[in-house]
Amino acid sequence: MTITVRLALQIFRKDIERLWWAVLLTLLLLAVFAFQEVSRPVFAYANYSRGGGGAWLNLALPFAWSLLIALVIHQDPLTGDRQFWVSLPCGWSPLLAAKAIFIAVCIQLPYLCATAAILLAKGFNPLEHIPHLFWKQLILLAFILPAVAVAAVVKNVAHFLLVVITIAGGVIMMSNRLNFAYGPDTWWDVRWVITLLILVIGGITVAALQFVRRCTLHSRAIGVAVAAAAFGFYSWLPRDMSAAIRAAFSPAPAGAPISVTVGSLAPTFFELQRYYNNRRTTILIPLQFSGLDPIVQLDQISLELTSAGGEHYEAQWPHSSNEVRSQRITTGLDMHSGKLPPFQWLELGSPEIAKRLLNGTVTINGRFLARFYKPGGPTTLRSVGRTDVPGLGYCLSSGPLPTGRVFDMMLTFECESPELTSREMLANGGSFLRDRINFGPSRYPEDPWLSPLHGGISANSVAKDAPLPSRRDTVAPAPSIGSAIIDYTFPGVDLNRFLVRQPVRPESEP
Amino acid sequence: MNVMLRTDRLAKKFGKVEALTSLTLEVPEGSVFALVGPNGAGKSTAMKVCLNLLRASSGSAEVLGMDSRKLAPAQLARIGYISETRQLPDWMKVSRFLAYCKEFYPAWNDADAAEFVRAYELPLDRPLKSLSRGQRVKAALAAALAYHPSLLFLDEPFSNLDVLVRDQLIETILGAGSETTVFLASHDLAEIESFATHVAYMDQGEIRFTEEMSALSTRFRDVEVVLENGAPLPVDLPAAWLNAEQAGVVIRFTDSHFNAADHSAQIRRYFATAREVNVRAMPLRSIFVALAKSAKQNKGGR
Repeated sequence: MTITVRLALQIFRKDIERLWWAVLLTLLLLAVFAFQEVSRPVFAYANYSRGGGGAWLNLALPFAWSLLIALVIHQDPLTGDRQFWVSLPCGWSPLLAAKAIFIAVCIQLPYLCATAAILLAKGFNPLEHIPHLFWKQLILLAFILPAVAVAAVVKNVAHFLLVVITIAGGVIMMSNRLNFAYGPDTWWDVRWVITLLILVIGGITVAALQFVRRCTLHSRAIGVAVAAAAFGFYSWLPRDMSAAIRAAFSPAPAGAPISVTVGSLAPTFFELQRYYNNRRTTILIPLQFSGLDPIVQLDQISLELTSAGGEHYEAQWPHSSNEVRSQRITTGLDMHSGKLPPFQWLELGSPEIAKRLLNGTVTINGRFLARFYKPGGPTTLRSVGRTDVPGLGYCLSSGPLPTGRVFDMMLTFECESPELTSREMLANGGSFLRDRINFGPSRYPEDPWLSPLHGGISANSVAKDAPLPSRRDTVAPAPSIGSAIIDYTFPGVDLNRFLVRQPVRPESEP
Repeated sequence: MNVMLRTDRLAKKFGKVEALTSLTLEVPEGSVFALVGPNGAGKSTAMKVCLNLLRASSGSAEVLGMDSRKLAPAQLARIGYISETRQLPDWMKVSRFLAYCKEFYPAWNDADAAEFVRAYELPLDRPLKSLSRGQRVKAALAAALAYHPSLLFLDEPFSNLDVLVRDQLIETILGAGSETTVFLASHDLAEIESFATHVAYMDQGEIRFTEEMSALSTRFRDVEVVLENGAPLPVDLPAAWLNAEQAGVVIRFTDSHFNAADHSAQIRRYFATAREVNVRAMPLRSIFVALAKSAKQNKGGR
């Protein structure tokens, strides 16, 4: 045993002796979390209580862990000039190693065991999902490293708490400005990944500098700069760029290029009625795709309208309520809307804008992001109860659920999968299911990001007096295999052609 | 003569405050070197810079032949450090504290540690935080001396200790023998007078002088001259005669370069009507008071 290891173990042992009670408390919290995950009520998603009763633990546990990290770092503080360890002949490497061992043994390892136990209890063999379990460990590490960095530069644990509360408060206060989520289901939002990377690299730099050199002032300055950079990056990165980065890092498989042109629209009264709004001008532009496999998912990223008079209007989708107020036009893509063909919808923010855009033709420049999937073989689910789905996990069918909060009656099934590659599922001909887990600031802390399971739900509403459908649900795993940006231009479009006017009920319509 | 610690124009600033201005000194091997001066003089800062607990603003320090900024575990294993402000792991019991320290020092001697525990009557089963200040210093000293350090830094080790404890600790330090060089900071001159071999006086971040104790004791004398008549105090007295005062026929001053051989002749040269001359050895405290007073006067004069 080298002297570094021997001394590291000595320091580790000392820290355990001192902090056993705190370790025990976090283990207790972790056990409660695992229990909650395992015993989460079936069809909890159906009631939109996605994390079940233990969702708060997804916030409480990281907070407890961060305190534990602060406590262990401050057993041998790195700031100040009065600490005992500095004059001991041990150097920085055994100290850093000791703290790393502590975090590994008291945080990472128990979390690994807890996630493995959850998988086991849910009927999965953890040994078959080791890469996924280690991925969860990496995500946790991405949280731990910034906490270590903060703990290394503050004077004491009270200051650590103050910094953590200040950061959390600041993030909450700025959450509107930060626009945490571009919108629902923005799987292509890479901001949190890059922000986490900035924080992790910054955290490693600050912690290393502080452990090796104990340059507290420099470390603090770097820490503040990193936090500012992360904040600035997150609030600045536009959707266009986020989607482009995503597509660049997971390119689509080679194949026929997807192109899009303006199609034709022959809506009936009922379809159009949904889109009519007497306070806003709504335009539905039908789209015709070529080279588009039905299993490709398309998201509208941005749209720019240039009027005949040369005025520019920009819109991005999805948007927050704040952005709706600030944007003069809003836009989106609807691929599966009843009997309507795929279309791009536009809402014009004011009568003045409508007047300008409807007076003459416009040029439309837009950007879609296409996500490609490779579906596996479908599995027919039992009408009630559990069905194992190869390549995915398992699904539970509810049978008819009487009177939910949202629907009169629901036919739902809920699936869980430990694999990231099976996050998307195809059910009943291709409608995409929502992910249960989307780790990242966009939904944190409501989502159970500590859970090793990803889940999705299919809920079909049925009117109370309607006869129950006789079909059986099928589910297929559909791992994503890449994505691509699709830019398009429609010159000389007369928006009047696609204006949604107040529907007049035709005689022939039922 | 081997030098265990050497500083060269060492300076340390805290913002705009200069805690150390230009500290230059040498601590010879085997010595008990006392760095004395009033509170806030910069003694603790000097020690911390030497131990690389603080980074110097300028200048350099060499400890055990190594640049203090590069002190490695090999050097630290030969250095002991006891300070009243050092944060010990208070929650540890004395026995655990000693056992913990032992792991870091290859030269640790269990028998010696046990002997210190016995001599100091340290309660092994009590946590450090429950000990009195004297006992805590004893525990720290036992942990420091058990590995026979080559250089022992003591920062105000005896402050607020009762006389018995202080004497016991001094006895221990002296008992460490010539293998351990002691570099000690204190504001209490009386407590170090009995055992320091070298002394440096520090004030406002500067070393006023540094000297061997024996030479210092020999060099300084309190001189009282009684004149036949009330002749005025000559204005051109030697610069080495500090703080000269006259009260009637009695003149008093501190001779900072006392030389028994020519002292009488020198007195007669300046005080021809001297009737009586009394020369007394000075305690360290009086020497420093005289020096401080002289420095103040010179400063005022400027």
